[in-house]
Amino acid sequence: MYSILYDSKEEVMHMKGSLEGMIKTDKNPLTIASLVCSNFEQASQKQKRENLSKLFALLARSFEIQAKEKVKDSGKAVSEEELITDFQKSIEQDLQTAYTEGESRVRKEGNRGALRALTWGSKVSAIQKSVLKRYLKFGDELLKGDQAIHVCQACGFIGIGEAPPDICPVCKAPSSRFTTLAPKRR
Amino acid sequence: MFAARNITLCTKDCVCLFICPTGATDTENGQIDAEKCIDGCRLCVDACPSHAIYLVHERYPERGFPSDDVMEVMTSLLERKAGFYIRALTAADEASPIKDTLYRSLALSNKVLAEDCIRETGHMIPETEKFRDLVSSQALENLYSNSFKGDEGESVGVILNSILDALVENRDAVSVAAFLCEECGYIVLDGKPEKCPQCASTSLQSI
Repeated sequence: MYSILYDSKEEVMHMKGSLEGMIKTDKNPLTIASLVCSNFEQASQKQKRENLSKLFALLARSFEIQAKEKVKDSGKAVSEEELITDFQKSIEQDLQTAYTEGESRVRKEGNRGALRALTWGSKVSAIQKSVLKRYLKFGDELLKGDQAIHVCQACGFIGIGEAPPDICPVCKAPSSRFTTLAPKRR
Repeated sequence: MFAARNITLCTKDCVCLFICPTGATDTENGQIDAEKCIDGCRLCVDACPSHAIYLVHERYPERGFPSDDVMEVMTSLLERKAGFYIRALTAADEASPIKDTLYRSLALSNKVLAEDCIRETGHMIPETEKFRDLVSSQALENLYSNSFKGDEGESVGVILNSILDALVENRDAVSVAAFLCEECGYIVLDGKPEKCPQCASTSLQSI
């Protein structure tokens, strides 16, 4: 009995390790397809293959738009507050279980790359949580005057202010690695 | 291996112009001419006082795939971050300006986290057997054709073949003229249509 369970788990894992499996087993396969393509877009840029990078970008963008349409079609309508509460719950769950459990499993393996991803990921998730908390407290006053939101492209850190930090507090990337998102002012 | 210049580090000391035997470093576009560059020569790389020149490998080593246990940790986290990303991005479309900014930054942050998870599952570069398996499984064509009625996903097939040819021959892809509908994500390859054949939108972006 044990061996049967083990075999079926092996099979699932085999599917999960493949790109096809990652896409097929996900609840929103279009989103994963988009992310796989945007990752390869970046890899091709590093190799200075502009056309290859553009083709991956095209697929990534197309699947992203399709994924958004899918969310609009299938997602039940929720109020803004419910949505923010959902986001907070999701982050809380990640911080309480996914990251802590994941970290001990990855540490046992000694996989330093995955450990780094989990360490930065949990820090960034905690920051996302605090940004949402601040929004619930201050509302649209979250961004006053010329303030904008700055996202680190290397690790996902979110900072609020007129300018991005000189150095990312999570991953130490310089300010040039930040993307700034500003509200459209009237 | 050919040389490339990181223009944000370049301090215009121009040692590379004097040391290059073929003149590959002397261009007007800020880059090094890969056609003229001598494979693996690296004279300019070692000469640059600002470390602004580096060698680009035609093939990067595969990172290898992690154990089943790590794979499970990273794929389940990927699923959660990907879900957060697409929900935040969708919500931004209908939100007021401040909320739009908040949601788009949360989406971007989660996109970075999700992509990080994908790389940690071993999928950093497209030159792997697993990517070829994905293409031959036709999973992407099928996904695409599910979104668009009466479309078998041929355009995605053409793009994937062009990508595979480039990867097999270890070169950049041939340029493909494509138009993307920004409303529904439909791809048109044979010339710009007046409007999107699927949703009739006129916002078609040239790629």
